[in-house]
Amino acid sequence: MTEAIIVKKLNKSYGQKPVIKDLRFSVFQGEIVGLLGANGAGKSTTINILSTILKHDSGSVLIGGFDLMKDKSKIKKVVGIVPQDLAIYEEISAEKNVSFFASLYGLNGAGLKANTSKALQQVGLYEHRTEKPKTFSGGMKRRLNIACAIAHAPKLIIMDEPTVGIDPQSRNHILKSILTMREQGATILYSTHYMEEVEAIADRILILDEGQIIASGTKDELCQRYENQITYHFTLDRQPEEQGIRFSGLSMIKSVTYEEQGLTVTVGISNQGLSHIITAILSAGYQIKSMSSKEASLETVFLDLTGKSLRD
Amino acid sequence: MNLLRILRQDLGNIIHNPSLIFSNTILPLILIGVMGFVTKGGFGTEPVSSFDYYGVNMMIFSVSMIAITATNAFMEERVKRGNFRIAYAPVSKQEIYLSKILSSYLLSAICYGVLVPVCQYVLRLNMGGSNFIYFVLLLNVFGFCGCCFGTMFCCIFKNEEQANSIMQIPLFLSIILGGVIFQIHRFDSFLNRLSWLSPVKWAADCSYQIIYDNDLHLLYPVMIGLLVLSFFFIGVCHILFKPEDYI
Repeated sequence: MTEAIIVKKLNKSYGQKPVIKDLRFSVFQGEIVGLLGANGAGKSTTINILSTILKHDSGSVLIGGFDLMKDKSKIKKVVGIVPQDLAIYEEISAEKNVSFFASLYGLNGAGLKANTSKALQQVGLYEHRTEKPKTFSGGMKRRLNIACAIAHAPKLIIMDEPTVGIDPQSRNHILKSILTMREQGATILYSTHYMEEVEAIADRILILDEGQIIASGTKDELCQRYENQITYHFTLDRQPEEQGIRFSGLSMIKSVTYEEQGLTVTVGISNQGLSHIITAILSAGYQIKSMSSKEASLETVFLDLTGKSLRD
Repeated sequence: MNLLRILRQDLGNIIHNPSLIFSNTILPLILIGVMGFVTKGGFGTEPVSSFDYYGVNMMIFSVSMIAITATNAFMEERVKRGNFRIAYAPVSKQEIYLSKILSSYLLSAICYGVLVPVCQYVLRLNMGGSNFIYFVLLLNVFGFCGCCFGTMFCCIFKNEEQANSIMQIPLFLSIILGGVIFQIHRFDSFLNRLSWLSPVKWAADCSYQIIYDNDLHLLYPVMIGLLVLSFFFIGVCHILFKPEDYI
């Protein structure tokens, strides 16, 4: 397989603070790669560097075979960027928005018209093409934001949290259109902190933490490492205190997360430790109101690797 | 080619902003009317009425305020994000800031290119008679300088609100020293000498010579001075404008 993106030893600091540290990864042509990370992990910085907007301090980036340092203009022509913030004009129609941004990539005449219509159809806004975005819902604006990035038919589409703050219906629409783009041959780098989105569309997942890729692979490959692991969630009668429950002697416990009305306990080997955990909770004077269990998921993997919740 | 496309879009954005259109079309006429009426007692009717005097002065005042139109064209909240999407496309950074300068300049050229003859021939104010074309030419170059000035402040402060509020300090100092709101030459000689630092003063004195003395000898030096300043402002834009500062 040919690589659409090759990142090697990439570093970027803001002042004295390193944000990207020796970052290395590849994205192959025709795949959807999910870049997963908590807020502040370095996702947007990575995306902004790949978008040619932000200069990196050191390292090399090849996009579509072009060197980021030498061939910015060539890279810009083959890449479509969906920025995190809405980057559209509110006062002109959806069609004029898409057409204007596509025209900057050298499209004109019938080709421009056809590509504009296709992009609007792809995100489900063709019926609303003559309307101004100021009348659109948040989800429709997000879809227009995507249409503006794909109308010049880029080979590589880089999306930075394209579904932030929208309703589930619009989110599903966006995810479906991303899958369609992939079917049509596009390569997609999809940055998000929504686990379920990555699970739904990504062929491969890169987990980014503190500016470094700490794990990569398909969802199954990542979860395989934790197949003998199970997570229990207990809802208690009151907020548990960390020192109140004695889990110290239970060696099968991998992690405990204390929450407002309960706690989450991850254990290493099947459900052998369940009775001990329940005993520890009850001995500490708490009442268990409900309990649920979950086998290893991407969330477990993420939590275990980063020690952070994606919603943080 | 992309410069023309971006320029057309920027001009469209300005036209869709009613307050910018108002401040470059109706507001100068209101200002002339109000200032002319308020100061009527201090002027006769011949050879220069208060409306003639403030007609010229308020035209210069309004053109100097085009700097605010330029900052709005660049960074006004409704267009800011769209404007910076352009940075993702294969366009040079010069095309981005030059289109903001040129679009606000075009607005000023069109608006004042119409307003001056309207004042001269419809409202019967003295805009230089047959010399009005030189006055329009001077306002054009002065407006261009104002657009470069406004855009430079956006490149320095990266934020419309901050750019506008800080820019207003040198802008209003320049306007006050230019004597277009009240005459500065009545004050001490130091202030008088200081006033020559103000491009508004250059434009105002040159305008009075064109209009009242039928004398064009200041026109070219003032236009050259304004153009040199404009190129200085563009140079600062080129050095300081970095698309990454706006993402």
